[in-house]
Parts: sequence; C-alpha cells; structure tokens
Amino acid sequence: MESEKEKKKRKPINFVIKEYGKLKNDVEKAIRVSIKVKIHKPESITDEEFRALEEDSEFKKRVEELVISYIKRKREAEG
Amino acid sequence: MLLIFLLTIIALIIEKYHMVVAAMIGASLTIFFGSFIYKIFTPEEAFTQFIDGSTLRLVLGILLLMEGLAKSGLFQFIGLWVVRLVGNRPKILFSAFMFLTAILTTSIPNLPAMLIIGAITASIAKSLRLKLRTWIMYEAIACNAGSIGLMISSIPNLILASEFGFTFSQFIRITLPLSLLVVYVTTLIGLKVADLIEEGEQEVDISSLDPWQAVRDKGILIRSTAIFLATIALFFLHEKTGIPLDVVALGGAVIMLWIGVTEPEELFRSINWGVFFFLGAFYIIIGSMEKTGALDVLAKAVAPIYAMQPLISLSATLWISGITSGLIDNIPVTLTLLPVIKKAAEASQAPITRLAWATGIGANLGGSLTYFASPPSVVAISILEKEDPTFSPSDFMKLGVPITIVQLVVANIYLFLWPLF
Repeated sequence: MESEKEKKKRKPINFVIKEYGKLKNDVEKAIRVSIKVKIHKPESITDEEFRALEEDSEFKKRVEELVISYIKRKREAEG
Repeated sequence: MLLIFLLTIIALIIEKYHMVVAAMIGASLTIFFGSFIYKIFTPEEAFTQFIDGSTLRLVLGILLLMEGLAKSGLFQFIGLWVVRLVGNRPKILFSAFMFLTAILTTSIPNLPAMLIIGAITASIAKSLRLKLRTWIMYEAIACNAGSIGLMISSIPNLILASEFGFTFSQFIRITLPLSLLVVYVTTLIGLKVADLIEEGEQEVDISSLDPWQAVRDKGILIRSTAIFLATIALFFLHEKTGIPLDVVALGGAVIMLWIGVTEPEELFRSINWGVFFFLGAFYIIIGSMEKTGALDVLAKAVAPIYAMQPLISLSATLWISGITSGLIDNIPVTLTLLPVIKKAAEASQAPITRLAWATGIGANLGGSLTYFASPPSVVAISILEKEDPTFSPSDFMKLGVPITIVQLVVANIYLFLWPLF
C-alpha cells in the first residue's frame, strides 16, 4: 500500500481531477441528457439528512417520477 | 559540474522537491560555481548558448497547438462516435479504445489525451459494465506507447527532432509503425489476460447517444482541426519549404490563438509552463558539463558499451533509457543520454542516429513502468482513486512492469530488424 508521504508527493497533479470532472460531465450529457438543479436546505431538516439525498437512489427515483408527472401535466395544460 | 548534475538527478529520483524546482536549484548552483567561483563561463553564455532556444520555441508552439485541438471537443466526439458504432461488444470496443488512445496521444499532449479517454471510459463504464480499472490502466499504457508515434507526440521526440534534425516523415516511417505494433501487442495481451467486464445488467441504452452533444462549438472544432492539419502538412513539407520547425509550430500556434479557440486565456492556463523552466534549467546543467569536460567523463564511463557489438549498444541504450524513464521524468533522461551517447559513439564509431532513436523510444515506453513516471500513468491513478475505492497504485505497477518489459522487447527486436535507419 502507498504511504501518506507518497500520496502527498503526487498531490500537485490532483488538479487534473477537476478537469476530469468537467470532461466527464460533458461526455455524460452526450450519453444521457441530465440537468443540474440547485435546491436549498429546508429549515426543518439537518445538514446531514439533506446532503445524504445526493447519494439516495430512492430519492433520485422519486425525483425522476416527479419530473415525468410534472412534464405530463405541463403538456396537458398547454394542450 | 558533474557533482551538481548527479545531485540534481538524485533529487529528481527521490522527489524531495518538485522536478522544476530541483532543476532550477541545479542550474543556479551551476551558474554560481561555473561563473563566479571557477569563472569558466559567463551567466550570459549560460543563458544564450547553453539553452537550446529552437527546442523551447518548438515545444511552446506544439503545446499551444495541441492544447487548442484538445479543447475543441474533436476527440470527445470521435470517442463517443466509436462507442455508438461498436456498441456493447467489449472486446472490439477495448481494441478500438486502445488504438484511439494511441492516435489521440500522437496528436495532443499525453495528459489531456488520458483525461479525455479516461472521462469517456468512466462515463460509459457503468452503462456497458466495463471493468474501469482494467480499461484505464491499459489506456494509460497505450498513451505512453502512442507517445513514440510522431515528432509532435512527446517532448523527447521534439528534442530528438531539434538536436538530430530528424524530420516529420522520418518519424512516420520509423517510430509510428513501432508505436502501432506496441499498442497491437499490448491490446492482444489485454484481450487474452484481462477482465474487461463486470457482472451485472446494462444500465443505459447507448445506441441513442449523440456525439455532437460533447462538442461546445462546431465552428471552433472545424477551425482548430484545420489549423492543426495545416501545421502538420507544413511539418511534412519542412525539408522542401526550408521553414524551420519552430517557426512552423509558433506560426500555427498564433493562428490557433487568433481563430482556433474562444478564450486564449483558457488555453494559456492549461499549458504546463513548468516544462519550459525545467528544459531551460537542465540545458544549463548539461551545457556546463559540455563546457567543462564533465560530459567527456560520463561518456568515457559508458564508452565500453559502445565499443561492443552495435546490437548490444543499441539494446543497452534502449533499456537504460526505458528503465531510467520509469524512475524519473523522460525529459532529463533524454537531455542527458543524447549528448553522452553522441560523445561515446563518436569515439567508438557506433551508429549515433540509431542510438538516438533507441533513446527516444525507451524514454517514451518507460513511462508505463511505474505509476509516477509519466503524466498518463499519474492521471490514470488519480481517476481510479476517485472512481474505485479498492484501487491501490501498486496495482498499476503489477500490470505496468511486465507490459513495459514486453514492449521494450518488441521495440528491441524492431530496432534490430528495421531497415530504414
């Protein structure tokens, strides 16, 4: 296993991860269109509970269902 | 001077300081002792005569051109187009990606090349159940093998072109076939022994993916590709036109900055400026060794190798260059070995140009030997540490060491057989 000292030596190159994230984001958009929506934490819940939603697959599934029903209603309303 | 050189090399190996800082300390000590203590040369001489300005200009022009092309989205487009074309056939896709990676590295710097191919692979890995660890490590190795390909593919190649006058077409005849052969052998090994896919269900249908979505501006993509291809054509015609390589590269870079990119600032930010300080500092150290005769001492030490059979000296050069490039960056390896070989070979009448090719080939292939030896290997490690919590950098070396040995054996046989030198 690599020691902490050895990891520190490689640190300067870690800026590439930021660039990698940007590139990956662009490519993922081409594979499957996605959007980013900023949601502020409601008062009644804790920071931990709120942040955990980012990795909560059940939550993501519910949001997808909400997107579908919202778009359907919008289409109907517009005729 | 020899002592300063050796201390700088030790500093580069133990990585106590950043490689640019180590080289600049070495150059400062060289000027201090050479100019002010022993009065062998003046500081002006060190800056104007020891530093090879044409190599620096060539590297600058090429890096600006290549970074411009890398930012155009061309290779993201080609990569996704290949994914859509091949679909869920992992073995064909693996082979296609290995060659795409190598081709990418011949045209843009190896760091963004590995970032682009790594980002595409990581994005499709889950959808196609690809074993990301295997793919990324093999791609990093293909990146290093691709660096042999063309004159513009790596800084050691640019140094060779500048120091020995090797032309663009010579690289196409001599090193490009070897680069493709090495990638072919590596791909065969991967197909035979590596786990390419994970267990599980395919998540997303990729047949509907649109490669154009990865391109931000079609106009920029077309313009930057045209500028790049025109510059390559001028490199090709360099012998006929007589326009120096550095002038062609800088001219192309100016046009790229003018009409090939949206934000010149963004392009400037992505250039690895440290490489110029490193090259300049190392040229001062090597130039002072030449001036003081320290290079002759080194050349005498290795002279017995070059007095042997040419095939033995050729193999020794390739392997020394390859193994040392696995331990330190390939730029100091190339800058040091070339003048030493020149002097040692002159004395023994060994074939200097073949030895120079062997140095460049070894320097590029050696990057796969360890996880810290080359930018593609370091990028691969960074991506895998982010995406795969069970990954350890030593996993890279378990693959890199045997494959580099195979690649050096292939290169060795190629250098024995190739008739065009």
